[in-house]
Amino acid sequence: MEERLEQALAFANYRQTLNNQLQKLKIRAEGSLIFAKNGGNFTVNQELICFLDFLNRSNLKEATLLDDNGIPVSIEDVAQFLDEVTTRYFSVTNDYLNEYQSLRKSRNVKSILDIKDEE
Amino acid sequence: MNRGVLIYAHNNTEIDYFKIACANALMVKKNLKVPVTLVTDEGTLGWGKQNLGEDFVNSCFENIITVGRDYGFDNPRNFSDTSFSSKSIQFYNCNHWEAYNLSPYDETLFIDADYLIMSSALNNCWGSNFDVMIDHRIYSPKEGLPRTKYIDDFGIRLYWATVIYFKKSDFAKFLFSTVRHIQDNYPYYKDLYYFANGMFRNDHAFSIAVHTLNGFSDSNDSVVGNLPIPGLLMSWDTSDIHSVPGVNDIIIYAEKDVKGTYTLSRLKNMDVHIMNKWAINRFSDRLIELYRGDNK
Repeated sequence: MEERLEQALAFANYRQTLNNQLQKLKIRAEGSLIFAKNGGNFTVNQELICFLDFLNRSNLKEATLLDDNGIPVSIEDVAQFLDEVTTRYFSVTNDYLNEYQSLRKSRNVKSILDIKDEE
Repeated sequence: MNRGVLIYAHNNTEIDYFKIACANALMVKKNLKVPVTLVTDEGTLGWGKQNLGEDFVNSCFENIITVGRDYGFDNPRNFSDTSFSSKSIQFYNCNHWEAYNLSPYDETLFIDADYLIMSSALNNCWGSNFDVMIDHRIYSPKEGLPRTKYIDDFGIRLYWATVIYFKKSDFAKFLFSTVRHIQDNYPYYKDLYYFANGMFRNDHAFSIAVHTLNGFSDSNDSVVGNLPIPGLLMSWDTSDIHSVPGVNDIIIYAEKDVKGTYTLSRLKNMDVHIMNKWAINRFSDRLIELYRGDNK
């Protein structure tokens, strides 16, 4: 095979594997950001955190929120819920960042997948 | 409320579902930390105990329920081991409708033996407002975002019976009895919904049941909820397992669109449905070794 074509195919393979792994990281982070509370499921994002912060600053101790399925869920302690979702948000995004940076630095398929020779 | 996982295992002449179920039960204990009940038949259980040892088998499951096996049930299925090998073997899946009655739990996660639990994501199910949760969103190790498949090009949404959450409730009981009705009248429903082949699939039966109970509509405002995950990760039977480097860590050869070409995909802390049963059988000893040690 011509050398240039061989290099192009190797790069294509690398890009595909990299994109694939980045996509998996993203989906895993999205899954980890789903937070179950009182029978409802909430996707933890900036919008939820800001809204809870607004309720908290407005001195609302309890509130009814619509979850991801549009079902009303009673939150008895808004401040505690805000604390829980904020902790989850940063725990997930920090892990995501670390793994994302590690992947972006990888320069070949073997390092992207962190495959050791004995594997 | 008592909670637990229910797994079915009925071996056929080639696939050792029992061993896969043992490995997965250990994975459930590690990640979900709930008890596991196995539903099996005398022949499969006898083979499993002889092969793996009674003490080990009893350490995997809190309950083992043996049910009668209908040896007259004829349901051949093509099992592939990558695109290069395929074999028609009996697929014994005719008793999933019984799960509602058999489950000893108030809240049950009913999973396929080959849906490997490598994360705690499904713990978000417990205490849900929904009586039943089952999903139609899937993605594979080589794909990007989750998507929905349909029973055929013009058909209804395909729900995957791979993972079903249900709680003891009138609605869940109703759903499972509807599945039984569909199974009992499968030739009629096969023609009505235009299935490509005649093999009985629980995915189809549950999809039709959900469609029926939704008032014959395919709306997003369904009587069942989606699972609290982005979708079900499916490693198709054209793919293979490269290795299992550690706990909750598996590397897959995912076949690309061109037959026989693969991309490697490393799955960490993600639940995955391994549809290549031979591949998972090849690695079930490794899984048992890893999770047995980790659960001690």
